[in-house]
Order: sequence, then structure tokens, then C-alpha cells
Amino acid sequence: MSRLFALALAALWMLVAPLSAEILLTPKEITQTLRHGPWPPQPTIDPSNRVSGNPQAIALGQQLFNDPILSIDGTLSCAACHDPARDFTDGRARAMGRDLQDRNTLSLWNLGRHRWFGWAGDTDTIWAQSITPLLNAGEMGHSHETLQHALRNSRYATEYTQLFSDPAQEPAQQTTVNIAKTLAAFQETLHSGITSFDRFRDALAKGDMNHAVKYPAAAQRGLQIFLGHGRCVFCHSGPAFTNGEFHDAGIPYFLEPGRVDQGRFAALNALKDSPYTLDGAFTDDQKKSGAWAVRNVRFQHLDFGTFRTPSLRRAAQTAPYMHNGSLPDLRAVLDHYNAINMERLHTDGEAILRPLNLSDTELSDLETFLRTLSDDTPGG
Amino acid sequence: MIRTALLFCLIANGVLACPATPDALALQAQAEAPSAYITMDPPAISQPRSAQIEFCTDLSMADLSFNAIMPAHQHGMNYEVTVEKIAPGTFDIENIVFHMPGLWEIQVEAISGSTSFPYTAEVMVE
Repeated sequence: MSRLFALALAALWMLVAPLSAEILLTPKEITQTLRHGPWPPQPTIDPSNRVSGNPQAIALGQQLFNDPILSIDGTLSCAACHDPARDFTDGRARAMGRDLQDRNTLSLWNLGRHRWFGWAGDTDTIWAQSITPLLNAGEMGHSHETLQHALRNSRYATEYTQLFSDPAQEPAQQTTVNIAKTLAAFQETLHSGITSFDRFRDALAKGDMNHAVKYPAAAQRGLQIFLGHGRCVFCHSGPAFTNGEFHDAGIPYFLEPGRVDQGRFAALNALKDSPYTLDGAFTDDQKKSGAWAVRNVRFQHLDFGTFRTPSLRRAAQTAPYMHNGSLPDLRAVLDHYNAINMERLHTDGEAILRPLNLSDTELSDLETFLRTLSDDTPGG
Repeated sequence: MIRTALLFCLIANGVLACPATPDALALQAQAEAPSAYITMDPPAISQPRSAQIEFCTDLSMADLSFNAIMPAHQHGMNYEVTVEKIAPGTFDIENIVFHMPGLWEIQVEAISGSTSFPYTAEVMVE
């Protein structure tokens, strides 16, 4: 009797098992999913940075990244906010340099593919972005002159001279740019790895359904929401899950009475005046490839209070969220979009966001999907 | 003499027809506007793309403006395109950036003398 029962149970499992592990996506959703890969992308060299990809520069950049000589009073390194043990963030809502900053610390994964940097895109290269905290009084607080002095009197002076030139023989501003270029060479090497989503996506691309069905059903349902009525894919598109552009996500941009974070609007003005762009004198690319963006970017009033769409790769590891770090975890972000306050959006702005009204189960599925973008081993 | 005759035959048989590219997309316009066609790189999200617009008319088009919007989202492009007239009746457009997936409406305005001809076309970006 018990053997018959066991046989019946086994037969039932064989019937049920294929139903419990299957591809839930429609052919259209599979086509959409394939656009989020392959990952990782091919490594590229930044032609605007003469030491991009140079092993000696990468090593020097990593040492400088972790050395507090880059701050005026020798108390802060880049790693103080971009902590490698915290996915190159600090876990704080708003960054703390020498003063409390206005924005959340962004992670440093996969920077090589960006067109704009920082929350508001006031720079168009990693090296230009690296200059900003060095010279910001509230962050590292150096001037060109104090930074050059610190370098000349450090153990890095010889190596720097081998890569560039004797810092004593060059303008201090050039030394700042060169230090930033070594920092950029290091940051370009920070790649997130292959996630369970990527394995699912690659299996779909190969038609390997036996492998693809290993991707959890909850994550598949979350992916369907992401691609469909969640409307997430409008901004979080492509292999890096970002379109790299700027949007009003309904997060307040008031910092304190009388002070607002203008986001992209102010950044465009800074960009226009910056000597450190792909169209400027400090690029090493004679062709100025990529400079079309800074030349052609539109100045629009609706950019007021908009911020760059962040990548979702390893996002589950980099709480808190949004430009001001006001949302403590992924669920809070989903709750924000689920019941978004339309009065906080530009009345004359783009009409993308609206309350999603997802159920608790749908929110849970969406979060499960997002977490499958962060279960990789970086560099792996 | 033979070359001229051959060219006449090619034109008569439509070999040098306008548009030059068979899979060019016809721009929509009001009835009195000359026919116009666009040939575009396959759109890719947030990547700069180029296009050519060709007018099938004897009218001389002096200038052209190009824009694109997402009607459903009420926004346009984040970058100005670069327009260059590369031949009589043919314009090259560079740095077209569609930064979101979905339906975009291309808006073209061509100027001939004191007359302006508006055109539109729809492009699905995926």
C-alpha cells in the first residue's frame, strides 16, 4: 500500500513539476529581456584619458583612492565615502565629507559606460567627475596648489613623474587633472559580475530552457511587472538598467528653507562653464570623440530638479536610495513609486510616472526581481 | 551620346527613382507638400543615430529643422541634432538620441523660399 502511495506521489510530482518551474514570459517579454544584456560589456579604453587601461596608472589610482593625502587636512580619502566594503558607498542618506553634502553617495560600479556622471551630470568623464570632490571645500577641500604640494611631498611623486611629468615643472591645475586621470583609470576597473538574471537572460538567448527555468518564478513575475505595467523599463533600460538620462522621480528637491537642489538644471550651467569636458583643453583625445553630447545637450526648464537614472546593477547592496538618500530600502523605493504623489512632479514635465497600485504580492515579486540584479560577485 | 541615352533610359525606367533607398520611410505631410523620405539607422535607446531626409521634388529646399517627441510622455529629445545639406534635396541629420523605448514622433520642417512644409513620421524605439 505504501509502495503504491509512493508511486502515485512520484507520478503526481512528475505531472506538477514542469508546471512549478516554467518560463512565464511571453515571446514579447523574452525579446524585451534580451535587451538587458549581454553582461558584462566589453571593456573599453577612454580616449580622453591617456592613462586609461594603463596598469601602472590603475595601481597608482587605487593607492591614491585610499590615501587621505587627497584631502586638505589629511583626514579623508575617496574611500571614506566610496567604501569598497560597502559597494563603494557609505550607507548614509547624504554624504559626509568635511561637511554634510546635499546628495547620497553614488556607487562606482560600471562607470565606463556612462555619458554623464554624478546625480546631475555636471561632468562627462570619470576623470572630470573625480576632480569635483578634490576641489570641493566641503569634501576633500584642496586647491590645485595644495594638491600639487601634497603629491610632490608624497611617496607617489616618482611614480607620477614616470606616468606624466615632474609635477614641479607643470601648472598645478594640470597635476589635479592628472591625479584625477589615475583615479579614473582605477575606477574604470570596477565591474559588477554576472547575476542570476544574466544567467536567465543568456539561457533565453541560447534557447536553453532547461537552464532558464531555474530562475525563480517570483523573479520572473517581478520582471514582467518591470517590463510591463510597472513602467520601470522606460528609464531603467539596456544592459546597465539605466538610460543614463535625467528625470523627476517625485522626490522633493528642497534641502532646507530657502535652498533647493536644482539637479540637472544647475549641472548644465556648470557643464557649460567647465574646462574639464570632452570638448575642453584637458582631454587627451585629439578627435574629441564623444564631445557631441556636451556640445548638443539641450538646456531645458524641465531639467529643474531632475536627477540621473541610476543603474540597478548591485543596487540592492547600496541603500539608502534616491538623490537625497531619503528612502531607506528597496521596498521603500517601490512603495514610493506605487503611491507616488503626483503633486510633487513638474506640472509641465514629462508624464511617465503615475501610481502603480501594485498589490503586496506584486511588490514582493518586483523586489525579488531587483535583487537578482545584485547577487553577483563583482569582477566575476 | 550612348551615356546620355543610358541615363535617359535609367530615369525613364525609374532606376534612379526617388527615394534612392528602397526601404526609406515616407514622411507624412499635407497633400500639397512634395514627397519626402527618411532613411535612419536602427534606433537604439540613448545612442546617437543619424538619418538622411530626401525630397522628391524640383523645389530647392534651403533649410530643414528636425525634432522628435514622445507624445505619450510629453517630452522631446535631450540633445540638439546637427543638420547638414549634403546635396540638393538631401539632408544629413546627426546625433538623434531617443532616450526611452516607445513610440516617438519625428517632426520635420522644410523651407523652400518663403514656404514651409511640415512633415511627421512615427518611429517605434525598442
